[in-house]
Amino acid sequence: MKKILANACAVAALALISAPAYAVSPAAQATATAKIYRPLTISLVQNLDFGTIVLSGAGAWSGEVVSMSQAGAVTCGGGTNLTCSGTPQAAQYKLVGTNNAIVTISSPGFNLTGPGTLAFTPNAPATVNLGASGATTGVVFDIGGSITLASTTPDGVYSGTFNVTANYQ
Amino acid sequence: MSGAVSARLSAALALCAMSEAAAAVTPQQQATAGATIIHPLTVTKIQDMDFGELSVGVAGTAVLEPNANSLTTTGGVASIGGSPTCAEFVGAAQSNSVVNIKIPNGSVTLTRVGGTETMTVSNFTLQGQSKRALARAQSFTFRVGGTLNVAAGQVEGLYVGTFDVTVQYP
Repeated sequence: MKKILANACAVAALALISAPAYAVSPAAQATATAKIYRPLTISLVQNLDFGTIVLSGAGAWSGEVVSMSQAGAVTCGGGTNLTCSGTPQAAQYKLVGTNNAIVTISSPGFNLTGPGTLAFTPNAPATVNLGASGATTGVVFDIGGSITLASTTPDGVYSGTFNVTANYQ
Repeated sequence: MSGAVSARLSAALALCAMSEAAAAVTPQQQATAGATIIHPLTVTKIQDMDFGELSVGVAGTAVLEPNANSLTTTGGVASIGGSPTCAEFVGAAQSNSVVNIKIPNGSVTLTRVGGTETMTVSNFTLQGQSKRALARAQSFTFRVGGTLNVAAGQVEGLYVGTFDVTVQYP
């Protein structure tokens, strides 16, 4: 009896050693996944324009903020010192990439220069969903922003250039 | 065994695709942000007058028309490029008022850069009415056109001159 048991052990040990020679399946299979993205492209659609702003307030004043929403609506300071006119419009860029992908937008601030210098703070969406037709027609998104004016701001034509980048989230 | 190899290969491919997608993209051309800012009772130039690039055989003229902001040519002058445009100005009233815009009556001389040859611009024209009724703090823009007189065999080069416009505020 004792001898048989010993033999059995030997057989079992043999079985263990030879085990790597057989294909074995783990209890849970690893999965290999890959999400393939189309190359993302971004292109200019239209420039931002605040229109014409008349510094109409009397005396000395400062800190009047002209802001444009992403929809292109202009808030013309506090209402007493500035008069805005013209046909303002927000900047627009077009993204083309993978359908329904989320794209992060970066748009750092910059200066508008002309007869003077005006700091411009962009108002851009943090992320854009490319949606169902992101690979074909793409998605257009808008960027507004704001500048701050004073009675001493030199008059003239101001312009600056965005530095927009986009990336898959 | 061959199945295992192909699986590794596809994983490597996926990794490549992922890392490419991770690079941030920038547009070929960035947008600009612009604003026109004006104090009341002033006039500010938005745009210089530019007849673009012209060729000349016999004498002729190039005419900038301010309402359509368009260039036409006569005689031996032909437009061959550039971005021809009328001059443009902006002003603003302080109170309800009628302002009077004055453009040059006579002609203005353009001189060749680096030379002494000249041409003239005459028959200055104004977009819209010279008298404008304005509300308080209302801004107004206007374009100014004119006729460039080019002689036969006009020496090639860049010609530049200046002219004044005046806005009378009451």
